Amino acid sequence: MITSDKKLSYYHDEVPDSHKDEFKCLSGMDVISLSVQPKFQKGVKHVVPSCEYYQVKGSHSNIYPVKNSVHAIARQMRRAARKSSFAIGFPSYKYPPLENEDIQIIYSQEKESDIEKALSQAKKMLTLSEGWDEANAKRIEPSTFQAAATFLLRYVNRLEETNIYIQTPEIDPCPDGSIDLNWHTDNARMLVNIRQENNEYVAYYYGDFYDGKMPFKGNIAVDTFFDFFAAWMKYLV
Amino acid sequence: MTEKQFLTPLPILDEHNVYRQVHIQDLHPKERDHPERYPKPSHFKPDPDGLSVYWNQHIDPEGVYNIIGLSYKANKTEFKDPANFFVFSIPVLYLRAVEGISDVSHSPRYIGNPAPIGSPNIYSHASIVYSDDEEIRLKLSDYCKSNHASCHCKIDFSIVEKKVQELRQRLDNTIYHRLPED
Repeated sequence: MITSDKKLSYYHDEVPDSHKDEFKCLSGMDVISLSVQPKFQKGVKHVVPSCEYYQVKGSHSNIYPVKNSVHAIARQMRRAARKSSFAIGFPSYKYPPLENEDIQIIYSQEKESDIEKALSQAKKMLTLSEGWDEANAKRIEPSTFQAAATFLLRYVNRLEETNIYIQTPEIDPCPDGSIDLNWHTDNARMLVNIRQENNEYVAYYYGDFYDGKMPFKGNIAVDTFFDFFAAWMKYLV
Repeated sequence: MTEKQFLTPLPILDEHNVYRQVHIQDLHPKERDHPERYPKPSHFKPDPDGLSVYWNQHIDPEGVYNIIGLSYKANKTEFKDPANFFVFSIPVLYLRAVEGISDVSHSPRYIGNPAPIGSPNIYSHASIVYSDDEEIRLKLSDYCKSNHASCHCKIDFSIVEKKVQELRQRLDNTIYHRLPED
C-alpha cells in the first residue's frame, strides 16, 4: 500500500513494471493525490516557482483508470505551467512551458476532501436496482456516475487552483437514470443534471441567487471545460 | 358510475391542492427521523405525461396512503409499504404560477371494474404538466422545504396500517377497485 511516507516518483507516461503491485492498490477505493514537480536539469532554469502550485487532487482511481489519469493530469500540468509562467510575470518566451520530459509525478495517498467523500458515499447509488423507488426508477449506470464525478472534479479542481473552494453538493440519483448535483449556499443555489443524450453526456443546469434573481440556465457538454460555467460556480462557495 | 363518467376530467381550481407521494429514497436529509425531510429536486423528474399527483377534492392524505398500500411495487406482486412514503400537499395556485408548468389537470386513472389486485383505480389522479426542467424541479423542491409545515401531511401510521390491512383482505372488493354503483 502506498502511504504518505512512502512516495513513489514516476515519469508521467509509464507505470513501471516493478511497481505494478502498488498500482493495483491504487485501483481500489483509496484516494490518492498526484503532484508534479519539474525534473532538475542542469543548466536549465525552470519557470516553476513551486511544485505545490501544480498539486492536483486525485480522483478515485476506480473512476479514472490510473494510467489515463496520469496522462490527463500530465496534460493539465503542462497547461498549468504555461498559465503559471504568465501569472507570476515571467515572459513565456524566456521560460518555455514544461515539456513531458521535464515533469515527474509524485503519487501519495491523501486524506479525502469533502467532495471526494461525498462522491464515495454517493457511489452507493450504483447498487440501487431497477425500481428502487418502488415505481419505475431505472438503475444508475456506472458510466453516468463516472461522467458526473469527472464533471464535478474537473470544475472543483480548476477552481481550487485559484484558491476558490466551493461547497459540497448533494449528489442524487434520479428515477430516469440521470444524476443531480445540487447546491444551496447562503448566496446562491444551483441544480446540475448529468444525463446521456445521443451517446454523449450533457449537463443541464439552472442556478440563481434565490427568488429567481440572476438566473443562469442552459446545458453544456460534460467532457469539456467552460470558463463561463466555472465563473458562475464561484458563487457556490 | 360508468367508465366514461369515471374518465371525464373535471376542472381543478386555483384554490385546490394536490398531494404528491414521495418515496423515502427521494427525501432530504437522509436521517429517517429528521423532522423536516423534504423531497429532493430529483424527485420531481416528470414522466412524459407530467408528474402524477392526487387532487384533494376527491381524496385525503389517508386515502393516498390507502392507495399506496393497495398498489404493487413495479414489476412485482408485492404490495408497497406505506411507511416508505411521505405525502406532501402543494397549492395549485403556486404550481400554476411557476413558469414552465403548463397545467394542473384532472386525469383519472381507470384500470378496470373491478381493477386487478395491486393496480387500483385512482379517480383523484391528476397531472402537473411540464417538461423535464432543472429550474422547475429546483423550485418545487425548495417550495416544499420552505413551506414544510404546511406541505408535509402528518399521519398516524397505526391507523393507516390497520386500514390498509383491512382493505387488502377484501382483495378487489374495495372502493378503489370497483366503480361506485348509481
